[in-house]
Amino acid sequence: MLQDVAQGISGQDLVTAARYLGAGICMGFGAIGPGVGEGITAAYAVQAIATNPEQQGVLVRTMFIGQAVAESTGIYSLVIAIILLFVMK
Amino acid sequence: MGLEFSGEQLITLSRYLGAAFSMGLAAIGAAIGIGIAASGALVGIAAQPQRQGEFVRTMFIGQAVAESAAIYGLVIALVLLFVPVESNLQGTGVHGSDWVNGMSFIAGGLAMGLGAIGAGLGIGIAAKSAIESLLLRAELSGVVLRTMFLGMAVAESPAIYSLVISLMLVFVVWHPPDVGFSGGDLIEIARSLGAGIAMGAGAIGAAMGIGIIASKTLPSIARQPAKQGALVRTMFLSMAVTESPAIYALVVASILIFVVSPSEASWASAVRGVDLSDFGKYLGGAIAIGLGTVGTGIGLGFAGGGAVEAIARNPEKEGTLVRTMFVAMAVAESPTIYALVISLILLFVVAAPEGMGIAASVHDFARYLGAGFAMGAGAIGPGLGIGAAARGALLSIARAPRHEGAIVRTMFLGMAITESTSIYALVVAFLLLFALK
Repeated sequence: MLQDVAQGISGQDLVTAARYLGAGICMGFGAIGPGVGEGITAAYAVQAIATNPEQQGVLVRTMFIGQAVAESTGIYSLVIAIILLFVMK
Repeated sequence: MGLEFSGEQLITLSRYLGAAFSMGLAAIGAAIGIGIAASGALVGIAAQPQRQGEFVRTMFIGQAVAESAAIYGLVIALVLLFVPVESNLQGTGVHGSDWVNGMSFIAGGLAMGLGAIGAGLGIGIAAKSAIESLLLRAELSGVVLRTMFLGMAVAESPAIYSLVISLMLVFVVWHPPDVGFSGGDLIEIARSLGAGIAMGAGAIGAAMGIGIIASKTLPSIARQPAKQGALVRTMFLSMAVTESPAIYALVVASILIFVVSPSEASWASAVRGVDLSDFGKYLGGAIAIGLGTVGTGIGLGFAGGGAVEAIARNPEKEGTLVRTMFVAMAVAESPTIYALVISLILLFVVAAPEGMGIAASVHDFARYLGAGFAMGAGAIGPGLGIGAAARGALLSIARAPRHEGAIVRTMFLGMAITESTSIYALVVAFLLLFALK
């Protein structure tokens, strides 16, 4: 059975398949961490505002900074996924 | 290949593997949950040793219910090992129907094994919190235990869905004998494997989330027994929403079992390009919803639990808190909706041309699997994170209701940023589905 399927496939097809699967794996896993980290940051930000509302400005700004750094790894994953899809052959 | 291998042996090994998955995976959640329940009893006995009988009793009750998830896994495993199931074996050699029937046994094992994990964990967490609540208020044991049972029953439900899908895969989904291995056999394999993964993995998050809600409700009742009506009401409302990811998984698994069927052309010949492409899309659709519900189920649990806790701390704000809870839960649900959309697109929208070559179909297979994994896994983190943000916001509103405006605004801002990586995943999935070949 496998021999019949394998006859039509070349090495290049497997390379292309690896590109597509790889892009999916990369972006899929890569979205997990930033989601959790940024959410935790937001949770603590709102609690901090409840504790000390006058510091809102600083608190929200710090939340943005923290989330931006967490986002960076998500951006790297997106970039690698796009490179796999459109740049690599 | 040189080795003697019969269809009967393939069926047998598939049953063994299915039994292994069913028991091994189901034991994970149950055992951890049982340990967590025991930890609750230990905390209680250390704090109030004179009540050790009561705490150990409550621990046993919680452990028994958590154990039930593992028992379902054990039952399916024993069925796979010892109960004869029609497999319509033919004399010698391995045929397509042997692969199909074997795979549906493995899929049944996966469905029950994975599906029991969340229930065991969630029930154990609820049991621990029941004991902690009894620590706070001994006289409320009736209410606490009753509510604990209710919560555990709801937390059990995703495991029940998995049990049903598992039984269907073992006893109902099978193929009559055929010769050789045709395209239709490959698609039937995708059908069973997909249904098993979709329902099994899809049950984890929701069951855990429901257990988390119960675990936050019980101490809240202990702190505010006068408000137990409102607390239990909010518990049920939020549990209903938290159930939804498991419903999506059940829907996709049911579509795969009842709606998907190979065409005449697939049955007529050996594996063609179209069949390999379709194999990839059904598997990809299953993975998208299977993974995509994990984070959201737990995240909705954070949100619902936070709402109940917040109402206990500030009962006058119940209206605002329930409203904010619903809005927050809607945002937390969105990554799972994206995953459901990608799953349904894979099941119903993408189609390969009849004459597709094998080489092109390998590309399709990888694209569809990649898209399914990207969106499925990509929904996990944001689901968890948005739920955590919701919980923080609800507790904050209870503590400082004057600043509700600022809190809710920041919550939305934080949630929007947290959502971003699930959008990237959605984009990558769409690129794989529609922009590439």
